[in-house]
Amino acid sequence: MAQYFVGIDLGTTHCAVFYGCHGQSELTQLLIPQLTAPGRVEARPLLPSFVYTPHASELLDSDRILPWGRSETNVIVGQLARDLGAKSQGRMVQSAKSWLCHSNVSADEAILPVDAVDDIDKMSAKTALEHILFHLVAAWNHAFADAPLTEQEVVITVPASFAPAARVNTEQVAQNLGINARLMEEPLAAFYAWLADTPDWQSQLEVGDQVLVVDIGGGTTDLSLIAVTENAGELDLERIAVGRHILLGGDNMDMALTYHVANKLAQQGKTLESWQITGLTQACCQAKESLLDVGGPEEFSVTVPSRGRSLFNNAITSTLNKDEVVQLVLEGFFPQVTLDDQVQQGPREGFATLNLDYERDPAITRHILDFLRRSEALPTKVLFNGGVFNAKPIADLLLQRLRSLLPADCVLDQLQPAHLDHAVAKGATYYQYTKVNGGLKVKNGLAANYYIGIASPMPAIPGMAPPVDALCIAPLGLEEGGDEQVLPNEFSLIVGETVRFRFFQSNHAQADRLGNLINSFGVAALIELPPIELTLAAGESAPGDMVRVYLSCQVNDLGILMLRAHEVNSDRSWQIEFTVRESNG
Amino acid sequence: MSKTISPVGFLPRFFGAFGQFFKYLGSGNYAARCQLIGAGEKFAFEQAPEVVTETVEVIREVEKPTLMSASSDGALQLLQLLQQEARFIDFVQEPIDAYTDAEVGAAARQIHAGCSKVALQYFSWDKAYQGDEGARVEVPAGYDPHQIRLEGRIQGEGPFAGTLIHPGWTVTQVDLPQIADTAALKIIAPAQVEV
Repeated sequence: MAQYFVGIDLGTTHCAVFYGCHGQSELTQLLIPQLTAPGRVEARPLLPSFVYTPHASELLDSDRILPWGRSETNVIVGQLARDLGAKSQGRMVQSAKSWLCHSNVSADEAILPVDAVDDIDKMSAKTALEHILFHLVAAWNHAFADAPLTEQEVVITVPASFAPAARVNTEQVAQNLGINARLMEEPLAAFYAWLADTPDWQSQLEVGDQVLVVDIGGGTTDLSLIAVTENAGELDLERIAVGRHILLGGDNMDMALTYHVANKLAQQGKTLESWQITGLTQACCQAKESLLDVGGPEEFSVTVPSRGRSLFNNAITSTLNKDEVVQLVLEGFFPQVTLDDQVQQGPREGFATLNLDYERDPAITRHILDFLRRSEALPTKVLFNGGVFNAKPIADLLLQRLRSLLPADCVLDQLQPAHLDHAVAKGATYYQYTKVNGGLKVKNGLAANYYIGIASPMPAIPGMAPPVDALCIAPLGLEEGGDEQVLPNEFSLIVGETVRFRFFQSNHAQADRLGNLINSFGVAALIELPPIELTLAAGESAPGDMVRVYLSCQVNDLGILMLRAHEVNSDRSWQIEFTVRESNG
Repeated sequence: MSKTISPVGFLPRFFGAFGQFFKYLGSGNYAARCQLIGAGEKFAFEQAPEVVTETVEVIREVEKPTLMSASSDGALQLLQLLQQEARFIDFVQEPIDAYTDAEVGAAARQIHAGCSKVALQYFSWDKAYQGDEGARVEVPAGYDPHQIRLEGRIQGEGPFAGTLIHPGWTVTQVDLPQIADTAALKIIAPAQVEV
């Protein structure tokens, strides 16, 4: 019997854990012991999501002792991993979570770090994430020796924009450690944290409100829209739309300032080495916070001291003033946009090194506009989350920009978050709390319609591949834990072979009908995902036989989309797997 | 209690009474004790042991007062943290006379940021005396001289009226990191070699 409910924010750059005890309403943050220097352990609220594989000579065995003993693996997780990785190349894995939804790389493929030195074993994104989660599990089990995490009710947050395959991968990472975690969307968790911290939330929302949640993390921006409706006299909440996966966040702002200062230094004839970039980024981050602070200074000197003993010899100093920061951060990332602006795609290089698919257009306001347009939303409330909003001018400016996008008679109010850094983990815990103790539930069904591609029947035309139609196999809004939905269509498939279907997702907020066919001309408007795969194990049939199958979809209790194929006239069924696109695809 | 009072039967009481008559008559001391018993006094062993709850106010001076050394481990650890976060040792080891105020100022900002990070991350702070700087305060007689230091013309028994020059600092909680090996603390910062 579970004693605790635990919310884990498995973030791209930081992890946090909150928990509550059954029968109590108080939610507490778990401090996570981690190495902060060789041989030094500190318990901190956040665990940086970095995994470092040290060289055999780099650390003594005694340097790696954690409160729960020496790690059996050869890797280090947390603050020390981040610090060591900043100084030595090719040993650190970061942003593992973002690799889970990479279109060309399987989450099981051992490719990280991409610039690995020769003497370490590369790891897959899933392995890296497992190392991080293992650390959190160990920290929990150390603090609650009589209530191991495997026996508690655990919620893990994922980006709202995570594709079905990335969710399955996250779930598998948890299951490898014996944890049956429920998955929850991060912006929704941030909204739950607001509910937990706002006892009179009902007086702040009214029927017809649409709440836009803008969650800007270190490396990603995640958007969601929550509608307030009425059900039997009570306020009812429903998450009606989520944004796409935007690899753009607070770190980009610090990098923008860093390169600006590096340019200024280059004009003075000073070129920076790579280690100085790291120091400069930290100094710029500090300068940004100070300059954007209300009543902060007009100018801030940015210094990267030399690595030698002298703080002054070879120190590199430049200054940043308020105007530059406003220009680069505020105007650069939050420019004024007009209603017909499009997200700028920008040309891509023909040959790119294998890496994450970072966003080309840094204008967060344009991405939000794009989201609002796709979901046909007119938000009346906005909730900000993420450390970026600790700078009040950023929150104020974004609010002002959003207001300017809405018709003149619309009012957009800001909901006041209680904290910006830990809200997601807290909200995830509160979600499980309300689930156990009753209380309101924000309905969140499937965030998009999902389609498979089917070759449409047509006479052969030389030089032209048969066009592909898209069949809706899971509609938007499908609720988790609901009944299995069955498609009316039937397919004939050959036993003993692997069949691949192209897989698509809609990018608007209207629910489609299960089994609806979108003709080939409409397919272009869909977003193509990595294909799905169905292997019909021969079983009693002879290989080469044809079987007739129908498909079904269901979102299970853990929040994962399950697709199955069932044989007509028997009770045999097969699981359909999410895969990744071939690299040349 | 080893001894108890148990009632005596009638016959031993009857004969014993004669003996007691002469014993009482013959000894003034015995008679006085009997009178106390008669008045309701109890023997020591009949009384419930009393727990002494009074604390001893003054710790007696040990015959030879000795001085102690504070543990150097904590000091070394603090130096490590200050060097790591603020380059503190680099700063104090370097003569700064040759540099301009602007250069020193720029470095000081970084050192300040690092030092305050260490001070706030590992220690919780409060005032030693609750009051605002410059306020009139009254220090009672029998104050703790570790907590409050009087300056100026100190005379009489107190209370002492004065101006609060500095409310002092007190650490309410220490959260220094745990370490695996105290012997390694002497190396405040390792040498860095880029390969």
